[in-house]
Amino acid sequence: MEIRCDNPFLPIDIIINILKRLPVKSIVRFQCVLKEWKDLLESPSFIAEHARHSAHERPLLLLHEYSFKRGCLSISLLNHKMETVEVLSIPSIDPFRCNWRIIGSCNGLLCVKVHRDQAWPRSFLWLWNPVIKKVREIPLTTNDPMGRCEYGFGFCGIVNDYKIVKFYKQKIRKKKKDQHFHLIKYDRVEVYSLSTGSWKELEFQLRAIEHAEILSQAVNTDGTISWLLLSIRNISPIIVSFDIATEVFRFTQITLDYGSFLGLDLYINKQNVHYVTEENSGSRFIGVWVAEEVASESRKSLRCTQKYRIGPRSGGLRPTCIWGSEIIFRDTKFKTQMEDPRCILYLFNLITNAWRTFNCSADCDWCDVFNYEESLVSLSV
Amino acid sequence: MSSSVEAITVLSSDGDEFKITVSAAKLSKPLNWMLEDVCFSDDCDEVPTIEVNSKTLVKVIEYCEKHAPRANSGASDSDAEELKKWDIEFMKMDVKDILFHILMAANYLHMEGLYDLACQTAADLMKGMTVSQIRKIFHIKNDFSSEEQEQLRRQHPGCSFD
Repeated sequence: MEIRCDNPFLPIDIIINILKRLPVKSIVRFQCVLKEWKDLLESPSFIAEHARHSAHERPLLLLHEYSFKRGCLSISLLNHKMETVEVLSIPSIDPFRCNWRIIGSCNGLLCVKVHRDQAWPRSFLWLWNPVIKKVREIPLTTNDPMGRCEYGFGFCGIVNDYKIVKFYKQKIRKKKKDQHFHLIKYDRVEVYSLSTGSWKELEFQLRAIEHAEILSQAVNTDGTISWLLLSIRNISPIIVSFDIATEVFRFTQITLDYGSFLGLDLYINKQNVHYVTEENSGSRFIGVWVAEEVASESRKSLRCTQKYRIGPRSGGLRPTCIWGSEIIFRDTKFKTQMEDPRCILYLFNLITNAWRTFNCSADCDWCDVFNYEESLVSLSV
Repeated sequence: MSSSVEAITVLSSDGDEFKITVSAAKLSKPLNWMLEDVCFSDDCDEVPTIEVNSKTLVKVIEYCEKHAPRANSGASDSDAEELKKWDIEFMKMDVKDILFHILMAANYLHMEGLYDLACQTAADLMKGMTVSQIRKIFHIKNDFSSEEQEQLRRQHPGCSFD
């Protein structure tokens, strides 16, 4: 490229307006241009400005492929044509190589759960910005559970903080008289704040969820983290929302009962959306229900209306996330010929009703997908 | 200002005269104020100067004349689509030489559309450049000492000062 040197000297506000439009990779590279640029590009105000500008762009799709034998195969970012734009390099920290899962994606940060060793099934958490290659280990809690945990990860702009929520069952049985003890999935909840760098235990209405199973991956908007739960005491599921600023849980019963619930995600206007399967004379449909808040005098509840009906489809399609105007379904097969892809993504466009298909790599047994926006958010406090 | 005036004359910083239609001049706030304040009728011989060089002003006026009909009347989606294509072509025209001048002019003339377009074009040109190419176009001298460079290389393996 021909570069001429008869350019005028640009004032800093014009330079900022140009730099905020650059991809994260270029910004990281240009920190070496000038000291003044380095300070500017690392300043919280520029990082926020850059995030505001990129918020208008369609998020990338993060695809985490793994094999049951070999662990993580690759983590790649795909554009709207499902072309790989970047393969993320995994930090060269030993435990990171083995058994780990991404549990949340928010503002370019990934929350990753790591098993240090398969024989030592204690979980560790990492926050990771893969584009600027920053990793931060989240310390263990004082009463780190041995059993299963469910997590959520999100950000709240009002308090400018990232938080991780962890539901778990304490190993030591306290209430010996409780005959339903074995049915209790979670009896504790803790929250980690990135700004304070510490965990704390939260009080909440355990009764509402203690016999419940979390059905969905946690989803986050600015300010809340939500899960879909199904309790053995009630056939209707509950949407649990955690307010990141106030650290208060809200439980909203979904009052309709139909089909079997598959998951929860957020769509236009950040409304809660959930999916339901229906069997109809041998055919299988997937209903997409949108939950809207209805406030009455005594309490708030969610009214659900079916907005879309997808199908009929054969096979065990499972919705995993909403990406732009598409719902992504995952289909996994276990007994196919070696060369066939075992993990396939089907994308259904809610506006055009068109389907498209994406084959994961041949040795991929399972994949997770997330919306992902590249960001400069660093993990320093 | 007489309502019969359809075009006004302005001077560039090099002292050349340019004609710009009133509707096109309205795209710029300062020019709009000038239209209201300054007498542009035939018996007034004052010609306002715009602090933009001739080469750049030609481009700015070309942009204004193209965008004025849409800005004044609103347009259909197909017009908007066509205009987008025109913008891309407009920015391709030998713009590397004068892009920064256009940026300065759009900023000075408060032309939001052209300013956004020029910033985006600059960003698209810059994103693949090396650090030394960036220093060259911005007239910047590397001010990191060799110790600082060494330290940054240790912290961020792979970072380059060239």
